[in-house]
Amino acid sequence: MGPEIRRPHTAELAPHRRYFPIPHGVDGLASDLGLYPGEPENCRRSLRRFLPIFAHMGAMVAVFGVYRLEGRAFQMLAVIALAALPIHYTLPYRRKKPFFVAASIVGLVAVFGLAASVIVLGIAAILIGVCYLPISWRARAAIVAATALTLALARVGRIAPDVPETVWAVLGSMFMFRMILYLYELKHATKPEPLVDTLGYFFLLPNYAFMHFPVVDYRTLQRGYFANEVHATQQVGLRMLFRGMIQLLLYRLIYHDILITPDEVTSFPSLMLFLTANYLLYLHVSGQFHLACGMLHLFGFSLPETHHNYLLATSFTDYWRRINIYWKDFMVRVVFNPVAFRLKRRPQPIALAVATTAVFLTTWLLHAYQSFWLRGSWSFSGHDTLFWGILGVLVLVNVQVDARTPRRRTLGSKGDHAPTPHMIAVRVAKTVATFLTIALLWSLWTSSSVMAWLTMLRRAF
Amino acid sequence: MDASSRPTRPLLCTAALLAWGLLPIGASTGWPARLNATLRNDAPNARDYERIEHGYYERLIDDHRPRAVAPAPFDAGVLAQTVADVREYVLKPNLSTTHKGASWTTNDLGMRDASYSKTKPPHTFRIALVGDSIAAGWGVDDGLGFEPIAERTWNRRSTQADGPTVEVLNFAVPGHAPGQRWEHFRRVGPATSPDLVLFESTLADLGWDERRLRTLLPRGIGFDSPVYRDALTSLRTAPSADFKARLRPHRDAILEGVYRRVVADCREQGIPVVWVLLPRVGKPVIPGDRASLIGLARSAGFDRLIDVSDAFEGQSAASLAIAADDFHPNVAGHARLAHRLDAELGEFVSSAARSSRPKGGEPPSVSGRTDPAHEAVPPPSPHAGVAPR
Repeated sequence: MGPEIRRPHTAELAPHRRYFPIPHGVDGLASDLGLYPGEPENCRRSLRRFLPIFAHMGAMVAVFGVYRLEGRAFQMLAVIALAALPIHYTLPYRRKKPFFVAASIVGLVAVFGLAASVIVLGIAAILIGVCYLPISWRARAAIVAATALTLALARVGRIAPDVPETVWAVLGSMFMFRMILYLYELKHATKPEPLVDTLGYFFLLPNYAFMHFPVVDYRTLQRGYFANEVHATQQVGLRMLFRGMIQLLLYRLIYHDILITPDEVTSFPSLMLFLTANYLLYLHVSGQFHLACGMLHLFGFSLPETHHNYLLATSFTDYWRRINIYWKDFMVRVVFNPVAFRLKRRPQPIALAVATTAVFLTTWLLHAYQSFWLRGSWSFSGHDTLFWGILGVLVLVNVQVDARTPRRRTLGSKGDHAPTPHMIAVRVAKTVATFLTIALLWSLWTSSSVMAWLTMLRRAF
Repeated sequence: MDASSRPTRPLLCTAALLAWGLLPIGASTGWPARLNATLRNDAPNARDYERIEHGYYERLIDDHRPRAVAPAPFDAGVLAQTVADVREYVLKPNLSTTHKGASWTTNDLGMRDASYSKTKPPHTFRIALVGDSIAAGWGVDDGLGFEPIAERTWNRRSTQADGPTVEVLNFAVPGHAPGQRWEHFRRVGPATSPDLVLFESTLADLGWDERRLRTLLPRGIGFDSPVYRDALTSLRTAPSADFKARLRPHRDAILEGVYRRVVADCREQGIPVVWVLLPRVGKPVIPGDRASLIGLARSAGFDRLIDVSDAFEGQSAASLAIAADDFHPNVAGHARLAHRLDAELGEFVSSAARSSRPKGGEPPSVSGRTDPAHEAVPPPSPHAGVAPR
């Protein structure tokens, strides 16, 4: 189901292999205009190129304010990002990341207030500090797990009931997944990670507006830092921000003007309208993820895209790869590959089946785990289990079919002849079928119960 | 294409969006106006959308929005209990808890308020406050909402002038649409014999009843409710109709029907009723919406209209909201509201209290407009609080 099966749509390489060491400037060129001594070439400053970027970001911040996009917290962070951007741009390279961390902490305090922020910073210091203890990886991971368990007890009010509710959501958002990836990275690291890299990983400015945050990979973030020419990276970020903004505005249109309630489904056309509009509410998530990653690009972090035309998926494995790509990468890295590797001596279909099952089981559990940290409840339910179970089975079958099908060039591949009408028709049919199946499953996931969902379907037919 | 080679298209689109967003809502008509209003509408969907829209991701996104307390409206949770009528839920009585960081106490009448006897004590002037989460003091500790502050101010002023005790009974229920608010008061309020009703409103009231009805009517609830019956009868909306299509064009008529019912019920009981428009923190007061709402209240015939929707103007939202993305006022916000309300209503309340309760006399009846005590109340000046903008 991962990149082993067919060419990924988003990139040729796994995310953590996508970036290469930063080319450093030669000492002899240190006095070049736009570079401090010893800075990488990608850091070269150019007022002529930066000013349009800054102006565009300013215009977008104005749009966020005029349309009141994503609430005051996001607008506040966007203003902080706008103010921090020219400072970050002009600072020497070695000061940039510490400044980004400082700006992120300012954002944290601005959004959540000093009292909650102090608690967050204190607990964050403990969690990060444990990772730097001069003891074995297993011991550090065990201490982190014990700390997380203690925090979970606090989350449900067993201990420290006076801690503001938001503290747990913020801590959860910062650490619940990123700590897993960070520990995974530490396990395989040959040398200690620089503290500023660690802080820059956990303290991400846009995180404080979006508690439901993309699972950014540690190594991808570090390798992507000034991996490309800074203005090009910022332009990519602006485009991501723009796309996110458009998606959120589209979401509003659907949310306010198109969406109907399940109670209003009385016929097949109304069912189609509901399924489509209900599924398209996901634009809220993809819009937020685009905004979050776009903002990180402005500060030099080159990151892969978070979603890739997921409405055009032609199969369930294709859908799994296109929607929430960071989650897919996370699962491939910490679940699929380790499981598949352990089963490498078994027949491939068995290894794929077990690894895929493990991925969906883990995804189901981690969605509940995420819900616990962010909302305070595990939110296990019959329809939730059914949703992940059905999707898992569909992907599982699709993976097996893909593994048995000889690789063929896809549309648009190099050397392809022009697609025949038959090829186009098949592709359209597959896209429509995938869309409708996912939309139907999505309606199950968002329904109040399986019975309510079945009742709605009965009314439509 | 090089990422930096063609940045102009998104920039131009951003500029166009900005220009479109800066157009006043009333500058266009027809679908452009509707589109503009929709794109700028950041209001959370009402609860009828919650049930379908709040799937896994929506619950996560909304719940993690940075805020100290959960937003109203809310489904029946720790603070509320469901009822099988148009109100859907009411506050649990005799509750004393801390909810999302704020102390929350309800009395035996199910009001977030101090304890009051159901029967009005002698020498007491009672005001009933009917409202939503802002009136209920959502997000602030007991006793720090604008209602208890105003009550303390008005009572102190009255008793110092040898007038009656002033009590403000808070019937507000978070998340209730205007019609639900009034239905709740109709059921529990008259028994407490109020002398004056304050009907709290915000710009969120526009369309709120219509959205609630879209969910209630398919469940067979709402057709027989007096607060909605008149409007629904005039719209000829029958069960099994396409409620969204039928109701949406009449959202103002539905709200006006609710307002007319409020006024008619109060007239029947001989109780003056004042309509109060409050602001929400960080939510701009759109002139067109404000004018529409005031127009509806005016045509319904409230005895007096008070508009304090400018109470937060000139103040940063961050200093007045309970949390970054919340529109509920914090302690400072409630203090401002109480101050503005006192400025607009204080003299009226004092005068009404003095006139309605001659010291040592029997409590006058509130059952008729001909009651001498009410005749002594200075004739309410309709729309006195509405300043043209």
